[in-house]
Amino acid sequence: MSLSLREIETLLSQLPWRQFQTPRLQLEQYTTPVHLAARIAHHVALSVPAKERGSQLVVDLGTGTGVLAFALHLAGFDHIVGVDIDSDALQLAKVNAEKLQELCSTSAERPVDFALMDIQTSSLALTGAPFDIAVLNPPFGTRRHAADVAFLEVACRVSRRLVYSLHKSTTRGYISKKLERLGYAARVYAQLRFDLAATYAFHTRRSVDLEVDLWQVELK
Amino acid sequence: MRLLTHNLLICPVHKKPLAIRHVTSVDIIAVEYQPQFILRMIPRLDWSLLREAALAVESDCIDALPETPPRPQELEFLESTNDEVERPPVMAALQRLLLETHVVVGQLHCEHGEYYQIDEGIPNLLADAAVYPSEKVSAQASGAPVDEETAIPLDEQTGS
Repeated sequence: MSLSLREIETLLSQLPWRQFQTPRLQLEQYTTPVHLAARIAHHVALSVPAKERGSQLVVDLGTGTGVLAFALHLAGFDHIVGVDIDSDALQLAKVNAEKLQELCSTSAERPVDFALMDIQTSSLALTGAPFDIAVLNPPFGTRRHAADVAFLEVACRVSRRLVYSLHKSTTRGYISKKLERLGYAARVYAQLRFDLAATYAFHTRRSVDLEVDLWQVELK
Repeated sequence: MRLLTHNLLICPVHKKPLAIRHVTSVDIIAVEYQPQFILRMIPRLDWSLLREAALAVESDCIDALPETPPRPQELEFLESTNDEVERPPVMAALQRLLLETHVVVGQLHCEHGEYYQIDEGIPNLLADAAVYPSEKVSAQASGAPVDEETAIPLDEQTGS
């Protein structure tokens, strides 16, 4: 199955858990807005020939309620593992999976395998580099310094082929330098808008547009 | 949790493979035959872990799994047969085990003793969710009296 951007967005917007009810501040959980998830999945899909998509093993690090993982499935990926540290979020992801199945009869049953895991290097529960593609929508590192770079490093370790990661455009220079120092070939693949709905009390405005970069790292 | 996913997991504390134990619920969900994907995954698999997993879920597919993974020259032949009846037994077994067998309720055991729960198909691999064998925990936690005959003298424990 390989749906268009518009079709993916329409399906995702019907999922019941596109937002967390009680986001945990420390983890900086922002659900990936539907339009952004659809676009990321679309970009990732375009970088892999259609014939090869179904035979890639993909991991979504920090999957939350699974919105990005489902978007990737709708864009043509059949083997996706979604990991997160929050069991409540994964419970909601399962509800989303059932709804997706209901909405889209061509979707495989249980398209995403979920696992509870802390993706910090010390507590990672994954063997070697089992995945072809790692996708992550990391915490933006505004409140926990450099958290996003640490996760990006883990993503580069568990994947063999490609890594996609979302970072604030204002951190472009910093991310670029970090990746260069780590020896990875990387580029900003697309610039997107992240509509941060006022999730937390300290967000005073109702909705804030944030410029974000979708980084692509090519691994050898 | 599919058995493919299980094969990629390790203990977050000791970084060792995890054995599937005490499985009380397994779902088999048929999906489209994907020989290309399976062939790509074979070199990445911990083959003996997969065989143990097949035994743990009491799958008949274990009979079709050789003791060692198929070699690359055998694989090219395997890819050519797409038809269900024509599927080589090892490929049919891998399709069933890796892609179609889901452990819904069970445990993942590390050789060092701790184990992790699988509930509603989601393995909990958070280090602080590790469960330790009950006797060890109760003795440590409560300081309960230990049977004198089996108790190890303190000096032997510390090796002094």
